[in-house]
Amino acid sequence: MQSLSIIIPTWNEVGNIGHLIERINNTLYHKNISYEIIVVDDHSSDKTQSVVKHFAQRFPVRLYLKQGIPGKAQSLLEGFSYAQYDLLCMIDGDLQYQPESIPEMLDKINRGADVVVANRILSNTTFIRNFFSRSFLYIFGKILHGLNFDIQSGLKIFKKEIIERLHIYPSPWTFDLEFLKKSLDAGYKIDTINMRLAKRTSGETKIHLLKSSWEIGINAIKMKFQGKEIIPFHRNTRKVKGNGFHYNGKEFIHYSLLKPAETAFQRITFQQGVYIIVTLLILLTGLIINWHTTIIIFIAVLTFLYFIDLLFNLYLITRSFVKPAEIKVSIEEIQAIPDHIWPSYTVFCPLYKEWQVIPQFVNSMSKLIYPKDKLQVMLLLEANDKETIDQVAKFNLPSYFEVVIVPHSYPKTKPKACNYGLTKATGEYAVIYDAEDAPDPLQLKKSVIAFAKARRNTICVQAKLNFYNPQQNFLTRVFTAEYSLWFDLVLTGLQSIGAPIPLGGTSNHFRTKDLHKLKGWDSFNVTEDADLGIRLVKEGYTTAIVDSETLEEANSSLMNWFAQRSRWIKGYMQTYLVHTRNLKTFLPSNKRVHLITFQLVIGGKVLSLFINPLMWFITLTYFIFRPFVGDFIESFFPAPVLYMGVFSLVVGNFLYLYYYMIGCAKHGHYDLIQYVFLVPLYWLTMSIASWIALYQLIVKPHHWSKTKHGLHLKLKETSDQVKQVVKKELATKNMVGI
Amino acid sequence: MQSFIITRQQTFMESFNKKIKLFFSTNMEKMIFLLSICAAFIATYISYINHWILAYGDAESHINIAKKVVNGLTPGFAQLGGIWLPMTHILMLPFVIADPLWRTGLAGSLISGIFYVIACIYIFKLTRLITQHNFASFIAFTIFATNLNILYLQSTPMTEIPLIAFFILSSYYFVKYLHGNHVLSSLILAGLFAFGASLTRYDGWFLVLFETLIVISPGIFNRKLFVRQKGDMILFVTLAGFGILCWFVWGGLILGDPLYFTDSIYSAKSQQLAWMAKGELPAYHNLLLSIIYYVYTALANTGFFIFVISLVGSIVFLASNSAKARIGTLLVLFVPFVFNVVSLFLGQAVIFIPGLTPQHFDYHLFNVRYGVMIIPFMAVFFGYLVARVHKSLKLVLIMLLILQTALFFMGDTPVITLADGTHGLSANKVPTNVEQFINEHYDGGFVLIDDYARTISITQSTIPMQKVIYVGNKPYWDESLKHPEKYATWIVMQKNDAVWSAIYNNSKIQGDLYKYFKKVYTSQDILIFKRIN
Repeated sequence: MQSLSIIIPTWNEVGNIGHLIERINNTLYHKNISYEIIVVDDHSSDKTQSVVKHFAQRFPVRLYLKQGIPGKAQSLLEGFSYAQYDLLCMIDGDLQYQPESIPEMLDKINRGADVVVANRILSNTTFIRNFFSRSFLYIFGKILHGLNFDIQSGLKIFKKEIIERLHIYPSPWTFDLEFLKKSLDAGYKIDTINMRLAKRTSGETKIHLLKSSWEIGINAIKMKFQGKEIIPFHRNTRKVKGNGFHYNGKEFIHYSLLKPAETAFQRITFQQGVYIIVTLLILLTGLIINWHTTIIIFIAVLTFLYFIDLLFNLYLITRSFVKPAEIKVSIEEIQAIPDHIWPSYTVFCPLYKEWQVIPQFVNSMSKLIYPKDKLQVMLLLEANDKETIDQVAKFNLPSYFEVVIVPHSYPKTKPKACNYGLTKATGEYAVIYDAEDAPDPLQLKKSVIAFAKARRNTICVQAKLNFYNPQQNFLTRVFTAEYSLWFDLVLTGLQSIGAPIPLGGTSNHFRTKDLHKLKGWDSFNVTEDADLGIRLVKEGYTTAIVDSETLEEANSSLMNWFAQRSRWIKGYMQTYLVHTRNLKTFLPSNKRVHLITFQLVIGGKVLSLFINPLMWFITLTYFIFRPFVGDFIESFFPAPVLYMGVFSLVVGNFLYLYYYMIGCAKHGHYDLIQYVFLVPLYWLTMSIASWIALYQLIVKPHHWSKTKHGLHLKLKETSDQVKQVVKKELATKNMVGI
Repeated sequence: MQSFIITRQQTFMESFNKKIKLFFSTNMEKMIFLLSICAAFIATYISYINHWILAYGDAESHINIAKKVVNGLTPGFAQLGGIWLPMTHILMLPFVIADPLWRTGLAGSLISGIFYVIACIYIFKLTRLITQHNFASFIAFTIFATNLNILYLQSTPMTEIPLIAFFILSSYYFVKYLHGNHVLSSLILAGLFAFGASLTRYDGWFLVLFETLIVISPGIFNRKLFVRQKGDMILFVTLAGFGILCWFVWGGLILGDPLYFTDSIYSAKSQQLAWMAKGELPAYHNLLLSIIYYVYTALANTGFFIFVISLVGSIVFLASNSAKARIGTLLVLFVPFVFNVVSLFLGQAVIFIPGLTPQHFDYHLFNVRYGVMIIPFMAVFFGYLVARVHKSLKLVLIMLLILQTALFFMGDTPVITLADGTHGLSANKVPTNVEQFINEHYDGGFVLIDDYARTISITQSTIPMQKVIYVGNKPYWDESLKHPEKYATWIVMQKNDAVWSAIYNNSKIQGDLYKYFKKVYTSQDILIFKRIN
């Protein structure tokens, strides 16, 4: 049996309210629908309250005196708060709306609607009122907000959770539009019935046509410009589906306790937008007033930033040599710990359309020297990836493997899958590996010991990443050089100064409870680990680098590389934008200086990708067309800027190139050092990727450009090289029984 | 009772000795630091009061180059030119801004002094790295630090001491690399300091070449090591050779010829061609004579005893089975010898030294300072021999060292580099009545002068550098040679210098000269004109 709370806002409806209650009772009683009637009276000066009290003796009616501001909207909101049942009905007390329509509307609810609106058929109204009403519906409902039904109808039925979920800030007559619009934005289905509007037989209308139309119209326009609202799930939905929200009617489930404002769901905040526009306006004004001086200042600022970045990187690289910060764990230390002492460990492996590398992954996991009864290896598959699910079902996976199907939802990202996995993790420690990873067999043990050896506020241990197929082609060679630089020099340098470390995509180890404390990963950030690395520093924690390595597959296809790199750069941009929303968040954890290192590591890295081609272009143009444009270009470089610029150009480019060589040498990739001379070509492709990333950030910010893995498996020569590097066969199909 | 007292005294002495030893071993580098600062200060003070700091003509040129970058008529890095390598000039920049430091040459002394101290510390460290012997290393330091030729040069703006410092620094880290200690950082630092050397003097280019060859050589002889050594070599030479590459690019972009340093009329090669034309380039294409010239010059700089003992030390080192990376170490320290012999052989350098240079030559003392470059080699291998020999022989060696040093200090062995500066061909313009005239009459305005010909000593005149028009102030110089009246208030010319040739020898322009200027000073070689108001 259905139960319904009916809210009737009244003000001087003595002639109607009694009949209305009776008609409601007659209708619902015969349909076997239980109900309660909540009358919220707006301090009527007639006998309305007495009549209601009288009927309350015979029917389930409660009378409440309006507490808040005058107006129907407030009466409704108060009435909703008194309701006991999960379905709410609002009906005007003027008897123009026929309560006999309620069963039909309930029927619509039973058939899946969340809100049912009784569309009025106007037959007894004046032409002017009819015209106004229809025009209003068309302009403010349909055109402005896409609502193709009778917004202002005084009879609606809807689920109570909607009103519990939405934040509505109505003026006296503007509840309906805001309610319906937000309901749609919150993902609710709205249905309608048609109902003939009766003529008022008693009392007077409370609506002043022009005044209320003006009020509703202004509110409709205001709502349009306020933009969309993120509407978190109702608590009951959260229990069933996990954490998520609706935006513009679309459902997003991110399985994280992060508030949407803490995620990269929104590209930029209003404030950031204002900053950007103001900056552009200042630049534009400068160009109009004095373009030459403006360009000089612009170039001077860029040159200065370059110069600072150059010095910072030099400092980092030097630090990585002078004060090597990575934690070393010896075999003796590992052997001293008996098997039963090792804590349980969860390994997350998000997989999407890459079942071909599963044998390789199983192989790698089986090689891990860790008590297998303490291992929980979680294959996180996407519900819509039927092929992988089917293939995995055929594998004879070891007992410590667990297949988890992540329900279909948006965003479709790796961090979303990991957050889902986190809710099912049983390990005391947790790590993410990509399916194509080949971690150092002792890595889990090393990480556990590294946690014990690290500073107290160390919350993450990052293993170093490198590649097992560096020799596959030019791209993999340079990519490997880049990784060697990043993990062997830059990250260790950053760690030595306790700076925010943009974590690598895999092989970062956590205590599971800390991951929960950090509210998991940002499902909307396509470089979720970089974001997490910054977030944990803001919370006062640090990351340590452990002397253990995970080998991955270097991207060997240019188009695949572009997809991956543009995603990374997009993720860095997301990370930068998220963490500059409120710069004060860097301050409480005594990490003020890292506000600057964050700017350099994340902001500087991205900015330089955009600016590099411009600087190269200016330099090349200057030297090639010097007789024609030499003086013109020189005029933009006053002596201090010129010297700083030339220094950055010559020494800076040289040093950056040289760092790659050092990275290779430090990692033992001596055979790759000679290819570093071609790195400038790689930089050029990175700049192209950055423009693609910017485009994607604007057009599809949460889209995860999937990197294809397993390309090395196709080439026997590369597979052989991989074997040499990893000292084992990566993919053994026999292992998984296929 | 007596034996008890003796025992207690012995125990006390042993403990005292231990403490002394411990103190010296732990504080040796600090001591060397302080001692070398003291030595540098005293030597510079002596040079200063005797007006020896700018005794070399080149010394003044070096400091003037730096001054022109910051305070010239057309300041900027282009003033660094393309002949002399720029490192020391760049390092002097912050100091030459102060006029007194520029005019006295102390801006250069400061740089050389700092490098002297660095070289002293690293000679000690290098010897200790090779010998593992503190005392022997201290002896090596003493040989280097007390050498009067070194002490004199460290008080001047000359480039030899900075080069030696870079050379020693690079060698120290290079030997560390060869020993397999902190391989990567040592190799990078060796490359970094070789880079410094390559931008200080051309000798540094040989250092880069030799170290590169030493790095790759194990890979050539052992194919298994080839990939590793090739990687190391690229890593090294990319950094070490970057300075050389930059110098070529600088020449090409700024001066229009990547080989400007050797093709220019101001280059050493052009100078040597003049000597050759006069038949006074004795070692040219004569290897034996090249070696003899350099050995003789090195001997004159180090002293006989030190030279011979060090040579023995190097032979013992080479023959020693216990010494690590013998050939590599020896080769890298031997680079200055090879460079100088090759330079003499190719006619890129010339040395005139009494006792060897034929009597009929115009000059008998020139460029003998090149011999100081081998002193680090001598110091290290003298130290090595001290470390290897028995205590009694150690004493003999030390006595000979003291004797050699005493001979220098007592003046029995001449300080040949100073002699070259004071009365050799390297000597600077001795202030004459020309400078005196200018100091008395100069009342402002631009002075057109061929600075390269060293017509007058600008540091010893009262002319501000900003008022000098010379070949490096391109538009002013070129226009002034055609229209002398355009900028200049004063014109100083020396017989056959560029100003003389372009203005005085050109009848048309000479007319303008006398139209706008009047001759206010005349000597046998020098004329000074002042603009008629």
